[in-house]
Amino acid sequence: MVSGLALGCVYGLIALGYSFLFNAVGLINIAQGSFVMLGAYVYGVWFTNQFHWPFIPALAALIVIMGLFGMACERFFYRPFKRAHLRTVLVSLVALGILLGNLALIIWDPYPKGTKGLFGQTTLRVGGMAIFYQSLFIIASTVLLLIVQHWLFKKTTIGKVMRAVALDKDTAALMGIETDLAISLTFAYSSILGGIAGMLVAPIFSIEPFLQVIGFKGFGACIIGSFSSITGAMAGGLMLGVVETLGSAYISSLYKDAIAYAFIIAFLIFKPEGLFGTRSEESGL
Amino acid sequence: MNTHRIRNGIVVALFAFLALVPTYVEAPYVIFVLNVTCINIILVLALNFILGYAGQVFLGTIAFFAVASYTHALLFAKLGWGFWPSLPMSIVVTSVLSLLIGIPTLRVRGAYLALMSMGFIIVVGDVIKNWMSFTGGVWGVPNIPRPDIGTFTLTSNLHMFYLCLALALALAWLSLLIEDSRYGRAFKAVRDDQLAVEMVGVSSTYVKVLAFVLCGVYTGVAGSLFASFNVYISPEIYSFNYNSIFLCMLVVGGLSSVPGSVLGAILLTAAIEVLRPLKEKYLTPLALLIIIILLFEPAGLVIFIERAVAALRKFIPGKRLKEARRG
Amino acid sequence: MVSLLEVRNISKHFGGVRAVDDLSFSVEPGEIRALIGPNGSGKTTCINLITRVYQLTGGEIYFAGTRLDQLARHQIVQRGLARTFQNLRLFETLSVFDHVLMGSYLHCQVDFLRTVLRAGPAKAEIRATTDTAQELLDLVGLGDKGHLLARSLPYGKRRLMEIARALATRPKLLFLDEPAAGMSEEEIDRLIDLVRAIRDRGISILLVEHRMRLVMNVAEQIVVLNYGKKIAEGTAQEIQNNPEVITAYLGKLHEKVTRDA
Repeated sequence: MVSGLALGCVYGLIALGYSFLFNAVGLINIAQGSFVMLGAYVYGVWFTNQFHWPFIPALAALIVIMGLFGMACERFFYRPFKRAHLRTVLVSLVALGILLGNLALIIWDPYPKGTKGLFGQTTLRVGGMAIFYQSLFIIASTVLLLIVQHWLFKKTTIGKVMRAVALDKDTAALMGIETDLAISLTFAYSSILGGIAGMLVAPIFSIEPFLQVIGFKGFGACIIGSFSSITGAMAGGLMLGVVETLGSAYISSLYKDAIAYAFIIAFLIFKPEGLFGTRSEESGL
Repeated sequence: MNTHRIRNGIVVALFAFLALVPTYVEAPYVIFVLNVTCINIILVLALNFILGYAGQVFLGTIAFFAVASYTHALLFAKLGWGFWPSLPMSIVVTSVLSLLIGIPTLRVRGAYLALMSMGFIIVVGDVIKNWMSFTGGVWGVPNIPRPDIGTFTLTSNLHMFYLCLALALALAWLSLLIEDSRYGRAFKAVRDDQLAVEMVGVSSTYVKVLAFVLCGVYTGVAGSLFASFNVYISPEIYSFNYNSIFLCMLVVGGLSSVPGSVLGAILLTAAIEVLRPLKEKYLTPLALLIIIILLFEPAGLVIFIERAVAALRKFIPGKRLKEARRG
Repeated sequence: MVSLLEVRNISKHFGGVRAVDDLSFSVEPGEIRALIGPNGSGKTTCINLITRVYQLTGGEIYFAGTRLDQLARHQIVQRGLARTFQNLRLFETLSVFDHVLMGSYLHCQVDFLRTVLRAGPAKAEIRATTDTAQELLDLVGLGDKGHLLARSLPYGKRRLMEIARALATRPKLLFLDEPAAGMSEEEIDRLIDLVRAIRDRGISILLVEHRMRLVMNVAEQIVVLNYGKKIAEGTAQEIQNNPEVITAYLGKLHEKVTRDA
């Protein structure tokens, strides 16, 4: 159950990455999962395994790298297609996802890797249950991150600028806000979120390009919760994580992905706007 | 109309080129690749219905391909059906599946479809890998027989190639017919403006589902051909990478264009063979190619051929193009 | 006689904004009725409500006696309602001719295989729809432009093409949503003739329009909206002299109007 929540936190973080970009530019970032994968690689393989950096500097470096990377992606895979059809942007992002997967193959070799993480496999024994410290760490980190994020967006100027652009790009532009820069920053932030999610899952999943597919679960979390609100995205993620973990425990661990996706698809069919979203007026368009 | 004749001519020319290759090159490797090319052509034509004509960013066709191959393999190899009964069955199963997938997922917006379609690949892959008793799991299905025509079994790759070529040509021709019919118009209309389509009394969901089903039919054929051709199938074949290849072929060749689909399949199948030394990294240049094409010539490479032919026709005495330029 | 279209107490609330408020009116068979009002009065919202682009917040809509507001959009058109769009909705990649052909789609009965192979009854059906498309293009004045890409047409002509497309669905009632927008005075003259020609074919028309010359010249009955409510209804003469209407427009009705005999 706790590990379900931890997994849910990760999904929620990924979902947030989608959510921010969706609110800012109306775009569903198909390559979000790739950001997570890269984060896992950068943090897990480079910083931890190869460089043996301690946690704080590694985290800082991760944030910087992912942030810059996000801005680069915006520059090359979003901005040139801003005026084109949504369809073109989506295909471009698919191509980005492919490239990132291949990039990982080129920089690191194709063999899956593992990393120990801060707590390894140590567990805390509480009343007959064994809880992984790593799970607690994930949950704690997520909570901390949400608090930081809240402060960032409510109190700092950068945060307010990003929110303004997310709410109404045109008005923000009229008020003299550099929307391009804000969008670039939003990409950076989503990338950072993805990277942190990658850092958190690095010890749990094997680090390989296929890790990109976790992006779909994050997307599903947005479907379940909501694309447009932070609580919605997190809630969706938590629900998905719990359902997947419980499902794998009680139904079948082989099919845990299928169970998770079935859950997502059920929402897609019956409640596509999510638990927290609002049904759009011109639905289906 | 002149643009139609140019288009049809290019398709015929491409297939003629393929048909003539064996007369000049006899290397078994090349014949092998030719077979794969034809199957790829069919798969790209399938994707063209959904992504090209109807404009829905659905990227899960590889999952249909897997279902088709497995249906064929299991019926043919394990249950002992013949090739010719298996083929329609795989078509039917795949089409029904595409219908079932199409109806719910098409009610939601484009980007949702894109991501969920990729998730679909994972689910199908998982099911195939884990249902050991039925599908053989990761060990795949071996010893799939080649088709026979009457008493003649197509054991030679060359003969298999002619069968694949014939089917690919037939399906390409069918695609052209569909494109020129009211269905082709309806697909493109839905791609351009769904609401307007509804406002002329046509259910956009119906049109999208139709595109899906057509994709399913074509993929069914390709699945059967592939299973028999390769004699062995296993889950790794139906990976994301292979799926991305179709996307690349369609976009690079020419989205929403039959000659584009054929051209893309031919060029990129060849390119992949050339890029083999790169091993798994071959996708990098392909993905970059997608971006480049999207940026500079979204209509795909086939447009260069079309323009060249149109320009050349001006020099043929007695033929005047009074057709308005395509936008 | 049952009204062709009957709108009963319809409302549309967007959050706190009442775009349409308790509106009722009807359109009789064979008539040309206009819906006018200042900007933001709810005219286009009303059309969108009837054609189910938006959902009703309240009220009912009847067409030839049957409930309309519970049908799917394409079903509404199949019943005989067609429309053009204020902001134009083109099929960017199709030709002008294809647009009008698309309008005939819903009447095509021949099955998939025969249509695609152009076999048997399909040949006649294809010929029929092609003839209809050409005839409608001639009617709206675009007879020689069929082969052009729709998006290469100038603005005013695109509207005419939309009208042809809508007519291809064989409607009993046609909504024209600001068809005169962006048209020159001569184009409006031709539009006046066109609207009358459409009515003479037995198609009733509901016209939403700003350009008063068009309204005054074709509409038999006019419904005036302001802030989503109906403030007046009647003939052009009655409307022109209605003080509430004049106030609502603050003098915009002082355009020159000419009325044919």
